[in-house]
Amino acid sequence: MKNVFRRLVGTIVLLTAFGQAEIYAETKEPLYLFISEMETFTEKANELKNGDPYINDDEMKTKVDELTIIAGRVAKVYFAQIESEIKPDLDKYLHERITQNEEIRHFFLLLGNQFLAIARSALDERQQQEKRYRMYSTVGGSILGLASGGAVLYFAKGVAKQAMTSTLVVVGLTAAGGVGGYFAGPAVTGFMLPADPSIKSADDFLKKYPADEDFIYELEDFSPDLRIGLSEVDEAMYALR
Amino acid sequence: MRYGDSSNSNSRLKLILSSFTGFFFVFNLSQAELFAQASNPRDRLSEAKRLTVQTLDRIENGAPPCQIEGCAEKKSEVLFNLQSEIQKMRWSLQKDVSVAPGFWLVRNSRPQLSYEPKTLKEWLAWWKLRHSSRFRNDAEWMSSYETIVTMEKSFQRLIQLPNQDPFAWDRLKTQWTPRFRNAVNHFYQSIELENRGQRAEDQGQISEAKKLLQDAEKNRQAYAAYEKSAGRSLVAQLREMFPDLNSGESLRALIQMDHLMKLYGTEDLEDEDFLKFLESCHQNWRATFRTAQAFSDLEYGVIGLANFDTSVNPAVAYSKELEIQRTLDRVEVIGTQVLDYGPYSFALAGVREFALGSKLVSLFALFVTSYLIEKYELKVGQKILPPSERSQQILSQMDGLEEKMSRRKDSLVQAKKILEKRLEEINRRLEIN
Repeated sequence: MKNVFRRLVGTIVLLTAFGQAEIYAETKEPLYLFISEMETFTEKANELKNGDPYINDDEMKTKVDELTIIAGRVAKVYFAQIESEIKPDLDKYLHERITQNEEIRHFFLLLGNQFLAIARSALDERQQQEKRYRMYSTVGGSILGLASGGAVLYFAKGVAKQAMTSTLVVVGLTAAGGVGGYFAGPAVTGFMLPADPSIKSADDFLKKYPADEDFIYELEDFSPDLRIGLSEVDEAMYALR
Repeated sequence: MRYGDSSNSNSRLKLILSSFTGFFFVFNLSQAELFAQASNPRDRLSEAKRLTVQTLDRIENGAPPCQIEGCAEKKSEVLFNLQSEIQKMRWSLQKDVSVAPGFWLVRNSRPQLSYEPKTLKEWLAWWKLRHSSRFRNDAEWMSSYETIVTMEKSFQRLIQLPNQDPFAWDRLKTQWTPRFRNAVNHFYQSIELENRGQRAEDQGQISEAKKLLQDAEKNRQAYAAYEKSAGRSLVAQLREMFPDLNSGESLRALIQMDHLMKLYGTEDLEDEDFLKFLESCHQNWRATFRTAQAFSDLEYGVIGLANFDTSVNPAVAYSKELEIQRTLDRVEVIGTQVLDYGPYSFALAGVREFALGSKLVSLFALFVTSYLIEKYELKVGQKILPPSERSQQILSQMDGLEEKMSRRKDSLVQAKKILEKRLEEINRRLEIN
């Protein structure tokens, strides 16, 4: 009897351990997928920047289209994990990749646009879902005789919380929607990810940002007040005027 | 730590006010006039010392926003000065610079709110801020401020180019053809029109937006044709001419030069008189910048090394406010839900009354009511308690803010080192003289 009990406990312990490992692997898998897609994206973007300078327009468009498709995959993996425990890891990794790849920062705009598109559709979907859920929960609640009680409120609060999470994502991203490219300052979204909703195709991208675009960079070492303060001291000191 | 003459008052307030007075002095008497007054080397060095000490004070101590009595008057005075300066330079502007958001900020001065609200009054003050259009007006003011900064910087780069970067100056002279100038104008117009078109689209002015976007496309095609014949993009050419400016700034510099040459009636880039004219334009824009900076200093304070970790630093202020606003978000969600479900309960009570307590009829009526409310989105909660986007706005503002602030800190330290060396040199030269 004792042995049976021991075996049973041992089996449970082993199964639990395997189960945990499996769960851990499943949880971490999207992170590896995300990293792998991001690496492909940065690799291709670097190739495009440092590759053949005499590449023709059609080839260029094909490559930008390819980058857009990869960006779409990255965004899908990210949004699939938006409420999971690995989201902070994804954020951290994304932030690192962007800061390590200043040279190709303008290509990250393609990534930002994909994030924006998915966030918008997620919000629409969520709002529809919320609407359906509220109708059903109200009717269900009334059947259970809870219509004026706290239960419906409790349900609705949970839904509203989810909807707000999506709204946050979208607002965070669309805050950069008004980017003028040149005069409106850098378009910055979550994790300093650039986005420009006016870019809808590879053609748009190549037309608007034809060279190594520097609209994202902040070239100034000093803020304007300090730059001008230093200039004035130098002008006075060395009689530059 | 204070620099310069130790006999100055140690009062913090006096220090702040004196530093602002310093700004007024600088912009009322233009730099050129000051140098004219300081014609002998000793006077010139004394002036350099004064500017160094003033800037070091700014770096070391910073300043809090001006919220004491009389500040509104002071801010308005600065804005009136700014308005007249902008008016003088309006002919040289291609884009509107408005002081109206500044006046709005003065009229709706932000109350001194406690970051640890305890009383109902303090919480209500934060609640009021949730629906304020302050963020929008802050952004509009900053847009005007940035335009002024870009104008000053473009002019400075233009007048420095022949001496500081002769290669770039030669490149500019070679390429400064009517075709190039046209292409630059088309490039600029395509961006401006597209921005305006997008704004019109956002505001629902569809036909206006369509027209603007079509015009933007025409301009884009025009400069694309130039690029095709030149075999290179305009952006690449701009970067060669102004390696230390971004394309927006270099484009503005060239647009200004083209505009001013037409006004001045010259085609010669090396016309001495024209270059002097550019110099005077730069001085005017610098004075305008100083005034705009004086307003920003009064309104937002100055981030220096001593007050870097206080709420003058927006990264600190936003993170404190976010905690408060998140609490208010929770209150708002609960309040909205209660109000949204009010009509359901009301309908239920009413139907029960009329149907003499028939549960079946009540349930049916409730179903119809809830269906109609959801279908036609008859949300009472959102009407009575409109949702606030304050937390989202704060989050979007906080994006990258810490990095920006960290850059500001680095630049404060770097500028301090440079100025301390300058001060040593000035003192040494003053002793010799």
